[in-house]
Amino acid sequence: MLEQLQERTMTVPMLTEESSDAELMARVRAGERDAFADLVDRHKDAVVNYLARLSGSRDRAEDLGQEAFLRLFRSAAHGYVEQGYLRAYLFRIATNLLRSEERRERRLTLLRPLLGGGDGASEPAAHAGMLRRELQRELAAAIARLPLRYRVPLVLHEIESWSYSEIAQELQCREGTVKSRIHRGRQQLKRQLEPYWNGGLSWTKSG
Amino acid sequence: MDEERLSRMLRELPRERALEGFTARVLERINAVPEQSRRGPRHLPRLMLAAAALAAIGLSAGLLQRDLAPAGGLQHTSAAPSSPVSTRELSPRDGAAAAPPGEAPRAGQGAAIGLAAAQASPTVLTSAAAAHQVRQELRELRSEQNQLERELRELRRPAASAQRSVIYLGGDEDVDLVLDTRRVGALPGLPGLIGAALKSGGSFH
Repeated sequence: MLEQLQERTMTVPMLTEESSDAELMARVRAGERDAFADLVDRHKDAVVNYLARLSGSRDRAEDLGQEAFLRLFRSAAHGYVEQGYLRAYLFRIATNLLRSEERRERRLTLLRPLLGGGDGASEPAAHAGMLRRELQRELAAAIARLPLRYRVPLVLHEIESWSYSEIAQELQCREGTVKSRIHRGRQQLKRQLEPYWNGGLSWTKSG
Repeated sequence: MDEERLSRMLRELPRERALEGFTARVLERINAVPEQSRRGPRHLPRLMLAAAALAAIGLSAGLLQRDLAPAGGLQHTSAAPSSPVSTRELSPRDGAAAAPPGEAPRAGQGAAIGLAAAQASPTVLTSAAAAHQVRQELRELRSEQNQLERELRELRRPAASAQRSVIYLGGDEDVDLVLDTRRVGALPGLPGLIGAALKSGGSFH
């Protein structure tokens, strides 16, 4: 229980971390690559986990995570000054990257029949096969299928343990809106998981 | 499924970690960016050059089809042999050369080819440098298109036609169709006088 609490606490921006991030960012602006490497080391797991939960894909999270850090580096070069919530800033970049990629995918999905590509037909079958394996994977996939406006607050609150007020500040909306979106996200998750839940599959923690 | 159980499931999802070498790969990509920008347009990826070439062919074919189609029939080869856009360039057979083997050229084909070319390289288009280069290519293509349109307009102007006594309209190995503009001017009310001449040894009879 204590380990779990410590792990969850680490995902929340901490005061001791904030000042260090600010210092490191100042050094990055001065051209120190080592300082940037330290920043990447510090936040990479959190960013990859966040993206993996949002996208439902480990590989995609890795790629987008790298891209997020590249954007952070460019931001530093263009004068971004860290003000205490670097991880929140990284999550924002990550969210925007995923949003752009999903838009691009939607456009390609629409255009693929016109361009004669048929390789998307096998995806649902492969996906369905994966879903049958265990409920945990199904849950991850179900999260990734949620609309982004529900997915982001739900992942930030339920998995990253952000408070409603922190999420509201990040998303620039009211706390009530955050609560409502999380609630709707949960309802959709429950609907998606219902067949698996009633089908007798047991929830096993794979660690 | 109750709320509590869902919350527990969400909390117990395993936390993903970045793969080993993640930081090194990020730093490699950072170092690679300035190098790419130093290379300049001469060292563009082959795929992008191929896409640009396809787009140019597509746009040219589409433009020519669009400009030639409304005239129809014989009149669609109205350029003089000595003009910058020669009749050989404007002949329907050449239009077919831009189409896939066995397919007749269609209106709008150029745009379709351009779209396919753009879709063929989604990864290239993702980078800012590549996007900038594509915009530049597009500007050049538009400029070329404008130039072609200007030339075609010039050729259609009555004054330009009047300077030439005979305009070659088209034909095949046996027959050439020509328009004598001086005779057209002498016969008001007639749309034009089209003459057919049998070729023999490269001269008209």
